[in-house]
Amino acid sequence: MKKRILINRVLISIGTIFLIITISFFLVNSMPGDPLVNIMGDEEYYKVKNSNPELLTEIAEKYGLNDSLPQRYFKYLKSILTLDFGYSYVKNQPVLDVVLYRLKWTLLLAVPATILSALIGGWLGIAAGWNSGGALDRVMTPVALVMNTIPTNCVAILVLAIFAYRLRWFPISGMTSGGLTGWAKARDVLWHMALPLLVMVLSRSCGNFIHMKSYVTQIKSEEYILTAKAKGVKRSRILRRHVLKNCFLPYITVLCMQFGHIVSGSIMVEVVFTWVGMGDMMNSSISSSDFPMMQLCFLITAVCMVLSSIAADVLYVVFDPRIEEF
Amino acid sequence: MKKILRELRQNKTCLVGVLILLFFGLMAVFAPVLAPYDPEELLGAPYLKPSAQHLLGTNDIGQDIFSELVYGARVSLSVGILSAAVVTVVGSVIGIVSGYYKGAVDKVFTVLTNLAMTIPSLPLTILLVGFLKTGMLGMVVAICITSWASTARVVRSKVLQIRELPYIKIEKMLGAPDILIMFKHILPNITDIVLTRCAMSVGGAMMTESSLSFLGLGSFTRKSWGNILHFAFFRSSVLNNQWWWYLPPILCISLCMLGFMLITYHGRTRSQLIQA
Amino acid sequence: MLEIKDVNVHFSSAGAVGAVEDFSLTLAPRSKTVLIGESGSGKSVLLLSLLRLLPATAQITGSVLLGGVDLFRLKESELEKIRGDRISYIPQGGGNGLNPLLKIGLQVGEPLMEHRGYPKKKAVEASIQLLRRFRLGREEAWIKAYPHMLSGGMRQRAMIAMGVAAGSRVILADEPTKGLDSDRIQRVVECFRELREETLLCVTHDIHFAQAVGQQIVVMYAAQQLEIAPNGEFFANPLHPYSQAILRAMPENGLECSVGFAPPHDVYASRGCRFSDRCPYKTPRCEEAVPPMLDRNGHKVRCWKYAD
Repeated sequence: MKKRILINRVLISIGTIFLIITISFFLVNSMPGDPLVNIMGDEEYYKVKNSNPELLTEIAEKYGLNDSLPQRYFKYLKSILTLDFGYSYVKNQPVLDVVLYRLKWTLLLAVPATILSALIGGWLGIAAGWNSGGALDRVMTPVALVMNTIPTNCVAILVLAIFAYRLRWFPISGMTSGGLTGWAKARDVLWHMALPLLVMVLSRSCGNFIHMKSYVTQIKSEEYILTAKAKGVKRSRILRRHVLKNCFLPYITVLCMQFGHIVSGSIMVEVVFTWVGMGDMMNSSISSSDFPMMQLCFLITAVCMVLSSIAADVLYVVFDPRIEEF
Repeated sequence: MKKILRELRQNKTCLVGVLILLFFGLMAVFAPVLAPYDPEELLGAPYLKPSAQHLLGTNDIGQDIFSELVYGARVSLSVGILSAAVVTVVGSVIGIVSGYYKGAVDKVFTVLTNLAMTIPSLPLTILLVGFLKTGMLGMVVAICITSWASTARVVRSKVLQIRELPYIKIEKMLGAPDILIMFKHILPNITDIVLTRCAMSVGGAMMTESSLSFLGLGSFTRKSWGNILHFAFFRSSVLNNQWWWYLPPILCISLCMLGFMLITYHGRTRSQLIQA
Repeated sequence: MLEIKDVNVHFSSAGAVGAVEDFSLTLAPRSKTVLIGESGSGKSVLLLSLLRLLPATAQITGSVLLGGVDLFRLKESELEKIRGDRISYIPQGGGNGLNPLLKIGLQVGEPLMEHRGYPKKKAVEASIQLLRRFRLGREEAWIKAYPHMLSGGMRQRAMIAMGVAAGSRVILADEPTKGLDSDRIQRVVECFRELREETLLCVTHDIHFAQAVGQQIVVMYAAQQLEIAPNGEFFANPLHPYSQAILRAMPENGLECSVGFAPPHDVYASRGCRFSDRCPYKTPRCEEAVPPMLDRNGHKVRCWKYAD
């Protein structure tokens, strides 16, 4: 029974990915403007157009722009299967290489941020929910609610202004100072990472805190907690045995969704701190109309989402004994 | 009306939220009266510090920042309200229809909803805005395409509960037309959810708008707060310590978001329960 | 064994209205007492108040003596040692009384871990014997099952096993037959008969169940006790008009519904007897003051009719 649910989920996900690929292809390929303008730059394009129109067709051929839309669509599908995503219009290198390089930097920032905020937010949420009305609850809840409403880019700019500009504790932008190797480089990267990491951890912890607190508060009022109290189980053991497992179940879904947003969720922070990752590149590829790059970025973010929602379902099926009944 | 006022008096968080939003609403409506200059007028000297003439100084091309902010409320709020209206109508109709008919219709809409919830919304909105390139209207369309799904989902799950209630079943047995049942009998029972979702959508749409505008994807002729922040940030106002340029739009956006959070706070906890 | 004296429960959120008023009852060792009452009459609140398990908004006064110790004077940590060990509570089987994510064996054996210091494995093994005592059948398999896999009747029996797990001598049970069909109810009745050494206080609105299990019957109405009588005496000769009405309304007595309906908040507002609105024997005195609990040779009743 469980197996059937999972197979079903995977099939749906494959369908979703296919649909996303199709949507992104048609969106990107029906964007206004001749892509050649973007490839060659305005001046060059018009110069060549007047002097040597054949060269234009040649270049278009190189980027596969002469075929009809359906032809290009099937070519695109085939190229995805062979992991050949074409050349970037702007950088003139294979898109995949650029994206993988950028992805590395994004993950370096986003993975620790997600893990740290899952731990911090979850832990504080449990503590505040379990002792609701206590000092932690009364301080953290409004703080988290307010933090959660302020857009990330605003928080990022404020943090930048205070810690990098005013106090000069951290660098204003970038990822490394350059010219370093080994430990020195690692330390340097960490130093550059501190502020973007802080902003991401801060905003996500607050979201996690709110979720976790509401789960704990809800579970606390369940009848089985009353049963446990009636059995004389000590408060601390009720928390460990009866509350934790039950609130981790919905929390897992929240965390999986966050891993799904791992690329798209860091756009703002990357832009503000000039952290040259995927998010920053997605933004710049739009403004420079670099279509293959856009497509791949979009595809990767979508695949992340789909994979993480599969992960959420799998974990739920594994951990929730009730699923079998559905 | 009296009922709303009484509710507000009891519910302090909601009251604060309403006051904040009222402040920005009035600012948007009376922008021409409040703003000392035309926000698009080039007044000459760029990068002026705050003074009696220019309360918040001038920007890189010599426009009055205070006037920009006042007029920015118009752009930000109208994008938010316009998109939220469309999102709420589309989401509610889809939610009601798929919850009411169940079966094949529901399957199709559920797949669509799930798909729309799986596609990462910010990148898709960025793509769409890049694609549509028609300034504010394009932004509204893009926001609508990416954010109707959660409203539809919440409404659907509530309708699924309501359609099983005896009085709806009786209506059905009496042969009342479906349209009548859906909009005369079911809709009034979900107005509180629809309204809460609507307020959340306005906040959400404004958030998206400010993010996109901050990235430089918005309209440039009529600046929203996000646009102002875009220019402030990318013209190095942080490095030049021009706090009067980057701080006010941040405050406006954040306060506005806070306002929406406060008025939806109670409804939000309720609709979360419905989702679960 | 358990002596309940003048217990009052008020919820600060509900104004001056009491949920339980002046409740007094003595449970002799090994006695079985059944508390009958309509929904909302305060009977479940009473059970929880005895263990001080009500939310913080509840104000409780009075005293509950268990072996001479007043449970209401104990510190929370001392009370934790008594709950589940000397006095235990069995929640409704139909509800969410068992943790959906933990196996039956662990939950049934949990009092042993808590009060007898059993390690988890030993407690789970012991739960097999406990479940066997209440004839669950295939006990070795069921201890590895999750609550949702059990039927309502089995859950109820598992919870009875859980209640007596650590050898607790006072059992408080909340509506143990709720949502069960007559076959399953019979099994639950057998389980309660199995409790020979234990003192039972059981809350229900199932009168047949009360007749089958209770030695002493208590009737509760709108937060007050109306009648306390031994089983035979109660069913043969009910004194209070309300008790008479509910017995007449039973199928074998002709399903006669003689008393009218009164909305509960009006009932609480009256100065007099709570049942006066619906009472066929109402006199002017009934509306003036709440009647005292009268003792007629061990058959207690709260009614002006018997005052002289």
